Amino acid sequence: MLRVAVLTGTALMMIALAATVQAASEAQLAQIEQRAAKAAKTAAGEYAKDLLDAAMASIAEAKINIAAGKEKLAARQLELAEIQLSAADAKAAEKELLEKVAIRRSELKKLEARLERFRQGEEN
Amino acid sequence: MKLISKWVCLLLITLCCGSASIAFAADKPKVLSQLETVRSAVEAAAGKIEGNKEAAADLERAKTALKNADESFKSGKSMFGFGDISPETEKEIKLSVDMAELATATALSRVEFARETAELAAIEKQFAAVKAKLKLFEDRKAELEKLRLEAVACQKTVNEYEVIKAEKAILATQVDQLSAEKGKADKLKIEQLELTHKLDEMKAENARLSALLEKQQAPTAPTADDSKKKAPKK
Repeated sequence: MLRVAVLTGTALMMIALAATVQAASEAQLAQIEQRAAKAAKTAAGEYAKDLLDAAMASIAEAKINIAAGKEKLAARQLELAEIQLSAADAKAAEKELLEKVAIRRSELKKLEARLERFRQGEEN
Repeated sequence: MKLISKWVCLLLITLCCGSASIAFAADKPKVLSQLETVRSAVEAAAGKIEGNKEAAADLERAKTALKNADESFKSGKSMFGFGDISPETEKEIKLSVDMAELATATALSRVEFARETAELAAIEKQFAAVKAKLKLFEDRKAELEKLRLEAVACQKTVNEYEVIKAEKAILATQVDQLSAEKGKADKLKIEQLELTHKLDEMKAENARLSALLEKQQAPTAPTADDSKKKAPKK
């Protein structure tokens, strides 16, 4: 009788634990999905679309694994999705800045050329 | 016979396990070689982060992912036996390796971002310096243009002055001529007055002489005095 009670208790605890883990995964999933949706509207959507697409694919796979009860795999996929989103942000920021630097460098070159023309007396 | 059949069974089991091991071992090097490549990349990136805190955090994440991959590999190997790993564990390792790879790329991206930010700051500084120099030249150019316009205006005034000067010289000559003519006219007027005066005198003389002449011609007709003298004295 006692054995049955212990077994039942253990089973219930495991079910509760599984439910808690699944709820935590789903909360994390929702949070990452929201972050991905936001990122798509920023520079990342323009400059790092490949990484955003990869993050969306990871999220989709994590959903499948959560549904299949593969919590560990789902957790890693969500973690990968998070890293992919961070990578997208960093890459987009880098590319955007590279563009800005290229534009300013080109403007500086033009300005320096004009200054040189002044120095040579061509624009006086 | 029984002993032989036991040996055969053992041999078959060993062969089965061996072939299974070989089958999994065929995939193992791919994930493991990828793991080692990423590990090398993480180590190489560690020397490039140059005190960048965000990049250091990314690299730390990459190292944690590599550690997770190692742990998954170890636990998967011991659980599955024969030194091989289950497909699910392999997938976990692959995910961890991908995470480490991406986190390393993110760290390098952040380092590049910091480098580009510094370069942009240097460009902006240079931009400001060149712009300031250009402003000096532009101001000088504007000043020169202003002076040039003033010089043109001055030249115009000088030309006008020359014209006026020439006109003044002509007018002065004309004034001299007129003054000379006026002098002549005044002289003539004085002469005219003198002549008029003389004429008046001559007229007066003429009248006096005429009167005198008339008086001299009068004896042909006796005067009242003469009648008195000729009448007999009683």
